[in-house]
Order: sequence, then C-alpha cells, then structure tokens
Amino acid sequence: MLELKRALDAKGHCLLEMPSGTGKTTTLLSLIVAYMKAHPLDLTKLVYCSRTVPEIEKVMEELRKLMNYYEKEMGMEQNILGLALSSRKNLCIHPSVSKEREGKVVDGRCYSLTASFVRARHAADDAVPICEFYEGFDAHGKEFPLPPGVYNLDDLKEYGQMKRWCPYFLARHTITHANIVVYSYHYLLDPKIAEVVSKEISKTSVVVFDEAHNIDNVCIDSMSVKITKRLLDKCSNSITILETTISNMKENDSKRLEKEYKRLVEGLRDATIARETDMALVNPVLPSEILEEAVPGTIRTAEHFVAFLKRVVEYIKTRLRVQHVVQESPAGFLRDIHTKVCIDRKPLRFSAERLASLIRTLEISDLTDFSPLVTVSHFATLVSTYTKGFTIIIEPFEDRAPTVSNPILYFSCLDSSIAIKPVFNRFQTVVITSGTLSPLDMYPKILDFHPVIMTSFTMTLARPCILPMIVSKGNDQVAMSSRYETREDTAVIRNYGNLLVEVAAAVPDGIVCFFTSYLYLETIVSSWYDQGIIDQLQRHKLLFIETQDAAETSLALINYIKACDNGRGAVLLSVARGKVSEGIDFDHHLGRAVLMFGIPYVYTQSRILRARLEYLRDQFQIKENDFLTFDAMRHAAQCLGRCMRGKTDYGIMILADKRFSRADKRSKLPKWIQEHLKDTNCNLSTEECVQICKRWLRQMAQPFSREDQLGISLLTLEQLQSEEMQKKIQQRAQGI
Amino acid sequence: MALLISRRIFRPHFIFRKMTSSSESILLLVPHVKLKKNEGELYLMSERLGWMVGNKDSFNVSHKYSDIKTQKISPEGKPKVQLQVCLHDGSATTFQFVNPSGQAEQMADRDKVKDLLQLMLPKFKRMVNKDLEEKKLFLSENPQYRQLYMDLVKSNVISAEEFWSDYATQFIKQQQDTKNATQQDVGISASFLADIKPQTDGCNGGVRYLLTSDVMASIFRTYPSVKQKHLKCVPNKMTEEEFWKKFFSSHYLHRDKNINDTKDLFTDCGKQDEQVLRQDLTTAINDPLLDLTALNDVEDETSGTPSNAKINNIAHQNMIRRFNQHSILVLKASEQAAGAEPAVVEAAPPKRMRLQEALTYDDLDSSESNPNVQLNLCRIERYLNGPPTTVPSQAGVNRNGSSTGLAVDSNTFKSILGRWMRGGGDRYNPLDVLSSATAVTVLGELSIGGSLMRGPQPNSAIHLTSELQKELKELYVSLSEILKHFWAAFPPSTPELVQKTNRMIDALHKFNQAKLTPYEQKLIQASTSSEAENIIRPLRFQLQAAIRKHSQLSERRPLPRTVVSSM
Repeated sequence: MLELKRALDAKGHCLLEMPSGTGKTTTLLSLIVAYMKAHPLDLTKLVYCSRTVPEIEKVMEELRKLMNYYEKEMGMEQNILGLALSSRKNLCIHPSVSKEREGKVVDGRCYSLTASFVRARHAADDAVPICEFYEGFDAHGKEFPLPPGVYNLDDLKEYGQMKRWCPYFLARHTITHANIVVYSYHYLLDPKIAEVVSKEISKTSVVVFDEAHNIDNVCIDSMSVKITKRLLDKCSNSITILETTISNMKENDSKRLEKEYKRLVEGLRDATIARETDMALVNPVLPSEILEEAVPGTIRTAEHFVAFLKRVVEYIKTRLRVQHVVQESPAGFLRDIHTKVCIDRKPLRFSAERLASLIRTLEISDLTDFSPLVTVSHFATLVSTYTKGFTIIIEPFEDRAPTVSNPILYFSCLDSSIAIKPVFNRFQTVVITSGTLSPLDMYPKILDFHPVIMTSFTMTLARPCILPMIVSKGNDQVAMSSRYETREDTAVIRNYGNLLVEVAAAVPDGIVCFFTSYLYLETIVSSWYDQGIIDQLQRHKLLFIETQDAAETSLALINYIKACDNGRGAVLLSVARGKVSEGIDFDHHLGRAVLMFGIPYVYTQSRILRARLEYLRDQFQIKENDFLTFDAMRHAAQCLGRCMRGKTDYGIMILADKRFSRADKRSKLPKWIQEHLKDTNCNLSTEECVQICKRWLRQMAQPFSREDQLGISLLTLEQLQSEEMQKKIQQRAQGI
Repeated sequence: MALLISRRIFRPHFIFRKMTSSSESILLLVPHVKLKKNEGELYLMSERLGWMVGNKDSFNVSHKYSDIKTQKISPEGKPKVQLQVCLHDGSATTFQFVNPSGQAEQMADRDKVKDLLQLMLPKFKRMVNKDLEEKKLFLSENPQYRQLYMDLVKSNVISAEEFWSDYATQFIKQQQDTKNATQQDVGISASFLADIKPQTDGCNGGVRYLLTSDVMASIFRTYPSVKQKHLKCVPNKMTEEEFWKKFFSSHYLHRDKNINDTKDLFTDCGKQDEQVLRQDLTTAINDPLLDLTALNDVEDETSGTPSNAKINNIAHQNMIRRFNQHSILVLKASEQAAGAEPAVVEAAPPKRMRLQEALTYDDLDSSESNPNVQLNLCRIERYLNGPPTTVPSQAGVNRNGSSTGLAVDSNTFKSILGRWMRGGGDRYNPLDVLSSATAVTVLGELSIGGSLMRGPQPNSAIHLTSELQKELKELYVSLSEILKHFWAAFPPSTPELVQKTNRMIDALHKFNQAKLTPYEQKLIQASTSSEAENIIRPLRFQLQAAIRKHSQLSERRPLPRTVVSSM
C-alpha cells in the first residue's frame, strides 16, 4: 500500500508482485478509492483491467464489499459509480441474440439490429427488425446517468431489463463518467477495441493491470495478424459479394456511392460523426498513427477499392504459394508488393478505414461473413504503417508435418511496447501487478517504460503453508528432466509416472499436474498407459485430463471438482500456458499438490519466437536465453501459484526437473515461493519427496484456528495500532 | 481365452428357527472330502449340510442352508479342488475334495455339491423378520428404552405394538433415517478395469481374464450402455461367457483404439457414451467460473501458441478422451448410487454467491457463529398459537375456546401493560407495576423464614435404598412417557386422537395398578406410610391430573367406554 501510495503521489508507473490470496485486489481498490476521495482533482478515475470474465466479476464483488463498508462506516451513500464492461456476448439481453454463444455472432447480430441505417430503414418500414433495448437506451438512457453504485455484469443486465435499456451500450456510455471501470485488458491494449471503447478516458486516471504476467503477449497478439489459405479463399467470396452489392446499388441508388466518394474527396475521415453502433469495424492502428489526410484517389470509388482489395488478396495468395520459409520485414514486403502488383504504401494504409466506410455505405448488416476480409485489410494497414518491430513470416507447412501443405502468413509484432506505449503515455499512473511477476526487472525492459516503484512482496505466514520442492531424480537415480534429448526416454517418463503415483497415494483430495506442452502431455499419457502407470494412478484417484477442446475440458474440470468435493480425490493433468493454468484457481482441497513436469519453455523452434528473440536482443539487449528462461519460469510460477489462494490454504509444489535447481532458474521464481524453498529440498529423489510430503501434510492437517494466526499473519485493530507493530511496519517500509 | 465367473448370491438375512433333529433325507453323499486335514464324508441333506470323519456317526460340522450366505469355489487350475461355504456370521468352512481317482473326479464331486447347493440355497432364502432383528438390536443398544420396554410392555401397561409405534421415538426416527438415506453405497473403484488384468497362462498361449461379480457390477454401473447390451444379448443371443469374451476382445475396452469399427458388438455402446458426453457438454457446464469457453472476454483468433499446433496423434487424443469419460462415468455411477433420486441436474449456485464464496476468507470474518440452539418445531402452528388456555370455567366452550381464551389473555395483557405504562402521564412509573400489597407478600416470602426461602424440607430427606431410588426413577420415566403421549393427544379433535386418549388413560390406570401401588407397598414396608405418601405424591398428582382431564372430556362427550375413576 505504501508503495502504491508513493507511485500515486509521484504520478508514475509501478510494478508490484503480490502473492495471490493476500488481498491484492482489495488493497488496490481500497487505496485507490481512498485516494480518489482525498484528492478528487488529481485522480478522477480508476481503470482496472483483468484477464478473464470471472476475474472481472470478482473485482466487482470486492468493490461492492468495499463500498458497503464505506457506507457502514461513514453512514451515508457513497457517490461512486463502479462499472464492469464486457463484450456484447456477456451483456446482451435481447431475447434471441443473447442465446448465441459465440461472441462474434452476437456482435454481428447486434450490429444488424442497431446500425444506424437499419434503424433508418425501420423508421420507414416497420417490418425491419430492430432491438427494442437499444431503442429504449437511445431514447432515454443518455439523459439519465446511472445512479451511483456498483454494477457488475449481472446488475447491468438487471438494470437494463428493468429500464428496458441495452446494458451494453449503457455501460459503454457510462464509462466516460464512471469512477471505476473494470474490464478486460483488450479494451485498452488492443487498438481495434481501445479506439472505440476507451477513447474518452481522462488522463488523470489510474490504470491497473491485474494478472499482468502475460501482458507482453497480449500486446503482441493484439497487433499480430495470421493469414491462412482458407481465410484468403473466404476473402475472395466476400469480395464477390461486395462487387454484386456495389453493382446493385449502382443501378438502384447511385447517389449514395457518390456521396461517399465526395466525402472521401473532402478528406473527412468521419464526416458522419459515426454513431457508436456503426463502429463495428475499426482501424487496427494506434490513434496517433492515423493520418489526418484524405483517402488517396486510387481507392476512392467503391469499384476501384474492391478491385484493389482483390489485387491485394491475389498477391498474398501468390506469396503463400512458396515452397520454403520466407521471412521479411514490412519494408521488404511493401517493396515487393509495389514491384509485383503496383500497389503503393499509401492506399494500403487506408484500406482498413476504406473498407469500414464501404461496408457502412453498402449497408451490409451481416458482418460475420466479412471478418476474413477485415483481417486482410487490417494486415494491409498495419504492414504499411509500421516498419519497425514487426516481421512477416510465410511458412509453407508446419514443421512437424512437412508433407502437408498448409501455408500460413504470420504478420507478427515483435515489440510488446508498441501497443502499450500509448497507455503509459496517456495515463498518469499505470500499476502492473500479479502474483507472479519475477524477475521484475524484465518487464520494464520488454514493455519499455520506467517504473517509479518496483517491488516484490512476500507473505507473512503463521505456518509454512507452501512446500516447494525440486525433485531431480527418480528412485533409480535417473535424472528427471524434460530436456529435449531425454524427454522421450522411457526411464524419465516412468520416473515421472512413479512420482505422480506416489504423490497421489500420499496427498489427499486434488492434485494438479502441469506439462510443458500439449504434445508432451499426450505422449506421456500414452506411454503411461502402456507402462500401467495409469492403472496404478486410478487405484488412488480419478483421472482427468485437459484436452484441446475447451468445452470438454470444462466438463472434465467440473467433474474434477465434484470428485474432490465428494472426497474421492482426483488428478488433473493439464498444460502450462493452457487455459486451465491461466484461468482456474485450485484453492484448498482442489489443489493440495501441484506438480510441474519439466520446465515449460516455449516451443523454441518457432520462427516467430526466433524473430522476437532476435529483435529483443538487438533492441533491448536481452539475451535469448534470459528471455526464454524468464518466460518459462513465469509460466511455471503461474502454474504453481494455482494452488495457493490464501493464508489458510496450503499446498505442495513439486518442480520435477533437474534444471530447476540451477541458480538461474531458481532465482527467477517469485520471492514468496523462493522463501520457502530450502536448499535441502532442491535435489530430491521421488522417495525423499514423498517422505517430506507426508511429514508436512501431517503438520498441516492439525487444526488451524484464527487464534493461531492472530498476531502473526492476522492482526486485530488493537494489534495493528500497537506501537510494536507500527515499528515493524516502519522497518519493513524502510527495508524496501 | 478362458473365463471364470464366480457367482455370489447375497442373502444378508438371518434366520432363527428351532433346531430340528428329526430324520432327514440325505440328498447327496460325497466321500473323500477333507476338512482341516481330516478326511471324511460330506452329506447334503434336505435342510443342512454336514461333514463327519469317516468312522463316526455324528456330524463334526453341520451348517443349515439358511445359515449359509454364499459358496465359493477354487478357480480352475489350482492344484487343490475346494469349496468354501461362507456363513452369515462371517465364518467360513472350506472343504477340499480329495478323490483318489484324480483331479477330474474331484472336480466332478465338487461340481455335484456346487450344483446341489445352488439349488438348495435359494429355497432357504427367506425373508426373516428383519424388523424383529432391528428392534432387538435397538433395545440392546439403548438401555433406557429397554428399561421402558420392560416396565411398560412386560407389565402389560401398553401393548408392544403401541410401544414401537408411539413410544420409541428414537427408534422411529432411526428407521425413518435409514429409509431416507438407504445405506450409503460403496462407490466404484476407478481402477476396476485395471484389475481385470489379462493373465497369460504359460502353456498354451491363452489369455485369461478373471472376472468377479464385483467387477461385473462395476462395469454395469459405470457403463449403462454395456448393461443394456447385456440385457439384450445374453440369454437369447449368446451365453454369458461369450458376452464377456466379446467384451474383452472389443475395442471398447481398449481405449487407445478407434471406436468406429462396425463389426464390433460394442460400437454402438461407444457411440451412445459419446452422445451422453455431448449432451453433458451442453447441459452440465453450469458453473460460470469454470467455463473455459467463456473465460475470455474478447476471443482472438491470433492466440494459440505455435507449440499447440493441431497435428496430433488421433489415437492419443481418443485415449485421453476415454480416460476423462471413464472418470466422469465412474463419478456419475457413484453419485447415482448415493442419491437415489433420478439424476436431476442440480441448479448451479447463483453466480453471485459463487463469486462471493471465492472472495471470502474465513479467517478475516469476525462474525462468530452465535451459539443459539435452533428451535426444532415439529408442529409450528402450535408454537405460533400458544397453548390452548382452557380455564376450568370455560370448559364448556371448547371448540373455539382456545381462540377466545387467547383473546382474553391478550386483553388482560394489554390492560396490564397499559397500567404499567400509564402511571404519571406519559412517563413510565415503576410503582405501577406491582401493587404494594403483592410486593410485601413477595418480599415476605423471599426473606428468611418465608416459604420460598425455606431450605430443603427435612422430611424429604428420607434415605431410600439405592434399589428403591432406581425403581422410583424408572417409575418417573415410564409415567412421564405415557403422560407425554396422553397430553400430546390434546385437544382430541379427531376420532383417532380421542381413541388415543382413551388408550392412554387405560394405560395410566394399568400403570397405577401394576406399578405404582406395588411400589407404594414396598415403600411403606421400607419406611412409614406418610413418607411413602410424600414420595409418591408427585406421581399421583400427575396421574390424577390426567385422569381428571380425561373425565372432564368424557363427561361432555359420550365415550365408547366406561370411565373407571378409582383414584
């Protein structure tokens, strides 16, 4: 809190690592809200970004608690408006649209009901369907702001139902004057969305990125484009649709096309002051990069533009028809496209915007079909805007299946700082926090910013409630490692299996295992089946395995939890970097032990990664190995942290790889884990590990009451105010 | 591939019958049967089996068929040919067949016995009076009820039936509990399929699977589709053995195989399972915090690290899916066993609750659970209406007497309260609460020498012998038990309740005659009659109150029995 306060005072950015379950969210919320109350002019808004929808909702509930407390203590209504924003998928209350499960379909259908031309048509002809909720919002919602309070997604929906207003647009409208906004990273980092949603957030805001250990990847993903053959084929289809629509329109209503043309000539980017619902397609480029220029003449008429698009698509198709891997810079690509099909940089740059304008003019209401074309136009715009920090890689086939032709064009962002830079520049304080941010010094480098505060906190615990161990060898003394050379070795696989079986026999309730990759998980499971290890495992616990199908995995998860709840106990095999490792908490009995089989290095042969590593080396002087280890260790820590969700929780963390005991890996674990990792526990065999587990579990199974924690990890108000404690806190603050 | 199915016939009931030693017909006599190293002859008779050492004429061992729970036989291929009978009391006797003419003969002998036993045992499978057993057990476990039973039933105060239906409340509750939660079933081991290990027998390269009835039950419970198949096929199309043979050779069991082989008997089972899974996918994912598909707010196609590329071994994937499915089915099977009600998809707990649950830390909550005992009301309306205040003078207006009584009461209360509040304008005057006269009397009572301050009365300190004391206690317990039921029947608004009061009053009279009077006699012998009178008085008083009440009732209503008021 002290550090956060300093950062707020300094109006600078900060980087905080706090163990999960120690009240990270509450701390952030309460301090910032208090600050907002104390200095209403310096700090007007809190933008809290989290990763998943459940996380967002949790933050909202925390906020609600905080506000209730304020109300109780101060005895009056608080004049603070907190709001969660999510995609239409999660906020729609339209009876039929909200039934759709896929986000894109919801967006498309919403657009087809609320776009301005649809509504204009409705005014002329009642048969054209519109969304009554949007109409309600449009008619009344804007005049009456939301009353202060905390609105979670469900509250918004309820409120929307009550008033018959569309909760999504209500929320988006409210963002501008809400005090606290909670939404997903993408709304700030992805320029495509940020432009629409977060444009009007004031400068004097605090931005918090929670669970931010992956933030660089989010930045990179939001600026990268992947084009496959299938996508291009779909593009050709949609271009034909465009052509026919244009020719139809020419016959019936040529005026409108002319109007558009004129507008473009005048260079008014958004002459129609686009209504919010029309902003379905947006420019993928960051706002500052957009030129305030007129659209170049070559693509002003609709037909010309469609022909232009066609040429681009055809060109990319020819590029995909390669036999070997091609890697080139955007500049090279531009030169090539200029020489081959005579396309200049400038029209390319406007293609995204021009396409948006065209689709609006053509009054195409079903956008879902056009998403491939939109992707290509984004690509065109990006490639012509950025020459640095990006690369183009064309792979004719996958590395593992060189015979299957599956050409893919990756337009990959290499520099994570590009997307986040405007955020750092715009807002006075940006807080980046997570349970696992170690090593801290990497983030300022890769995100290219200068934090005023950078701290890693530990936990004060009344008992050693985590037991990290590094298991380096099996009972037969064969080293355990997921090293590339030994990972197929049956002895290693068997040792992994034996470790799991023995741990499963010793540890109660739930056990979660993480593998380095899905492929590795599959091979290991199949050899475990052949070796009979699965059978042994099933004698102790039920077995659930993460699959690549998200729905199936959810089902497995639900059953895993059921099995833990009813006392049977279960083992979940899952993948580091997978969805389970990122979004699901295994608190208390759901995760009494976490096993990390191997070091979760990213697949190093990938060319995108290679390119990024090179870029990092050249631009930021980060050694390849350093980055790889950093990346692997943060994912490992993320997996391990899954089982600790609070001070009363306890869990075993087993790192099953010889290489973890090396100093360069060990030192990259978060401080709160390192603290408990004793030197004696760094080179264990399976047997020793199980012995230690058993002893520790016996200790942990003793009743643990509130009294045991009081004074150590739990303070009453009196204790907190006592002189001794104050001194201690002072000391700590000084120490840091 | 050989297959061995050992059957078990479960018959967990006891039988208590008188030993009959009359002449029985011998159904089968098998010589050369060893029991504990002694050779002898095994007799199978009409009601029991017996074994005697060769030269004796009485059985060394004999078991009634009704005592036998199951029989087990040694698996084929074992050097010894044995047959074991397990008894209900848990003990077992193992007979070994040692026909000198070779193993084939031994087997034949054994099979003869086995078949005959198989015929005989079901005949003796009889529903024993399970109830009686339970009652016996209950009484032996609860001494106070046993005492009550002795006092009330043995002395014919009430009938045994009445005792069980009305008095032994705990027993009734217990029974209901067992009825509600029929014994918790044992779940299915996750590894039951692993337990059926194919074993190669060295000589002719055959593979043997050992299949016990437990495993069969597990398979059926876990894979309902196999069970259906079994029901459909087994008696008509193929034998039991064939079915299992097919099952084991089927791809269905071997999880790494693809299940799209049309020839296989179990293909459609696999498909059926698949369907169930699909259905679950759409219905069962009801926890918003766990739905991975909805985790991400903005779905981005560009995500998906290249290492997770989609070229994978399909066989592996299938296997992994089968593992998941297996675990899910096992879990489901045990769930169904636990809650007997049809699988209703439990409504997901509301999202908000789930979220709050995820946020609360127990150790931070200061709210200590208040140690209030929850009031457990069996008849709420009685609690709400209060006891019917039947003032003796009002006994005539009974039907709505209670309501008027209530009205009267509330009025008096109101007036009293009003008096309290009235004193001195709006101000509350403590002097008005009590009239001074009452206050003085109360003070008098409370001061030394007053009636409330008197110490234990000297005459109550009679020393009863411990035996008499105990008896007195028992009397109190029994009487209060009967009285409880008597008063519970009030007001006797239905014919049944009237009946019940009548029965109770009879019981009370009987109690008086059979218990109280003798005890009084005893007391008088032990001490003086006045002391006995003192000791007995409270009991008598209770008794008389009940009888008086009853006679009041019967005066108003012509009762179908003559009132004996001999008190």
